[in-house]
Amino acid sequence: MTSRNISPGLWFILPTMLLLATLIIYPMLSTVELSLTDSSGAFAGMRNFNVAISAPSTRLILFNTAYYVIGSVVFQLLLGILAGILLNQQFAGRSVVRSLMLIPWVVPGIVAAMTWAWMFHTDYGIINYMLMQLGIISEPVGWLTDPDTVMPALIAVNAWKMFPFVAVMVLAGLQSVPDELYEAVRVDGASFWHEIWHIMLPQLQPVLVSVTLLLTIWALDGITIIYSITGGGPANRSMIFPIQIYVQAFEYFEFNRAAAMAVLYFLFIAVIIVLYMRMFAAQDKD
Amino acid sequence: MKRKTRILAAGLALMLSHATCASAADLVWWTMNWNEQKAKDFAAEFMKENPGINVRVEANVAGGLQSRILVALQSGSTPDLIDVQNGVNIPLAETGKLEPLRDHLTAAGVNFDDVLPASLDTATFNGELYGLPFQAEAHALIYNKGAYKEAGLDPDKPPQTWTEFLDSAKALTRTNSAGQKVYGYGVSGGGADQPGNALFRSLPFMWMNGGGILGPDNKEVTINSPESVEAVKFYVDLFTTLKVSPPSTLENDSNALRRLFQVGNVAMIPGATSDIERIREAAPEIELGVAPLPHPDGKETAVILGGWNFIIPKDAPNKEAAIKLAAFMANAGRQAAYTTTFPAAMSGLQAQRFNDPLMDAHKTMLQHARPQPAIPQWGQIGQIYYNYLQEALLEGSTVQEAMDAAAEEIKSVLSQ
Repeated sequence: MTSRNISPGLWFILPTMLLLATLIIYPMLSTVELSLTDSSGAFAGMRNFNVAISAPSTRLILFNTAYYVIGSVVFQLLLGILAGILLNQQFAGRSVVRSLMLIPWVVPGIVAAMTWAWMFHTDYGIINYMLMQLGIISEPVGWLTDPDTVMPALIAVNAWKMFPFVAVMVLAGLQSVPDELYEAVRVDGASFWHEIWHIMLPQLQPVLVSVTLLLTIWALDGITIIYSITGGGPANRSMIFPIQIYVQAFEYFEFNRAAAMAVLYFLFIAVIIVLYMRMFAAQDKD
Repeated sequence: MKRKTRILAAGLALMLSHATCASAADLVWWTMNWNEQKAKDFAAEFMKENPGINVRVEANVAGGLQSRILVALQSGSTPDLIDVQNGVNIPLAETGKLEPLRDHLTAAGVNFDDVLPASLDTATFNGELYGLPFQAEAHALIYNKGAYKEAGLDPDKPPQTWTEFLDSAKALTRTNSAGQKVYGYGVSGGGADQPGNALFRSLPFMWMNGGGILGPDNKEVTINSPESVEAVKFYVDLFTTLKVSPPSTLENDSNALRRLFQVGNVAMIPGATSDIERIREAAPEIELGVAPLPHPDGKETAVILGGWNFIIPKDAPNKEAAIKLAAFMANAGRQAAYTTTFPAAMSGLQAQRFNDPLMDAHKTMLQHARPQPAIPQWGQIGQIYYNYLQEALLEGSTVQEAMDAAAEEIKSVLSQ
């Protein structure tokens, strides 16, 4: 077979494949190699994995990660769908509200994180100040330092940051719903609630399936908010897996252990994504 | 379309011109942003003395500095001379990517007898010297004389022992005449610059009391010894039971504490001479007092030796010139001008700028300063200690339980 016989399509796709191989496949293989060696490059078997798994904080960190991802995605979806549906209604100033709503999403993550960190501050944060002025609390609450409130506070920030994205997608999805459907149910006497439940949500399902997947991936690998607000503290109460990997590598200089954790985390995410795709992508085809 | 092409071409030209600026012939010096101008002035002086060497100064910011250096070292594409905090010198040396300096610098005429010995320890790994100290500092107790007077304390008699310290902290914790809540002392239990800030402020308590995190040979773990636990409990109680530290304690790093001090919210904080300068600038109306750190009755005070070192990467493209520049900066007079606190070359302390009586306590503390343990795992050990210190501050466990758990984890790090 000469090069002439190879389908031209293959030639067209070759540069992309090479680029992908250098930028994605090589680093992945290199990470796997790092995870199996020690700092001098000698083969270490499963030692790095054992150390990573047996660390006493691992269970707490896994729990935090799951808490953060599920909490974030649920609230991002709820708020986003709600905002999307509301902004699809006719009212005065709609376009202004639509643009204003995008602000959290457009603001750079680090800026948002620092702003929220100051707002949550125990002594001079505006949140405690307002709650105390209103008489709702009598003593300042340590939002970011109390183990019971730190994760909800961080989830709230993440939900606030990403819900506009969901709203935009929902809005786009709703605009492709034909008016005839609404007219038909209105003739049958449907209320607004019925419209949401029986028309909007079913019509939005394909959009929501892919949006949820994206949100899950972003929550799983997003470290900006937590890293810059609490750094995983107090005492690991808000530590999540991706930050722990970063800390191992760049603060402790334990690249091999960090690589082992990255491989484990990769497998963990892969399982979640495959399960998700099985459940929803399959449903889609029906 | 045409316009787009033109912009693209301009961008490309800019990139190319930048690339020529950064030719390999330039000696690249990574300084810190607060020292950029001084570094540029010294570089100009150095270039005049050494024609043919072109020095390019690049300013770094403190956040993420360690990882930036590490990435540069691992990639092999490194600057030639880098300013690093002395606490990370040994972990960086452990990567095997730093140039040993003692012979080079001795040959270049550097007098190591003048350098504070404890500073040299921060750069010594496996018997080799991997850094040249240029800045040395130690904390002292900075206090607000106005708050002392208001609380009925003598502002010229700062606390010397732990007992006196507790009494003043309690007396200072009150609502002042302006109706503002004042706290006696600022415990550092959180914030961005951790675990360093908490370590610098709490480990001295253990040392003074005869304890520590590790034993003298850095092999034995002493963090849960009675002396250490007593000291940590003393530190933690300031926040948990005595409440002489503000409610935001678990969010406060050194910057936050200094800000609280500046607005009169906290009356005593530990800090370096650079903190004095910053407070004077931000709140000139506060009358400052400075004293050595209080110690347990009948025992000596102690403090961590902080500071900065120059390092030269093994892969530095202009190693010879970098050694020359380091030797040039080893001069005590230049260090006295370059440092933000004290110079590591002791004769530099004679400079006019250190002639301020407010710096006397810091000079005293420098004599009691000890380097942090010189082992590569120290960064990780500091983080473990910090996590359990927070656990104790959160009252999730007793100090004894927290330090026992910390000891277990540190032992497993040491055995790996």
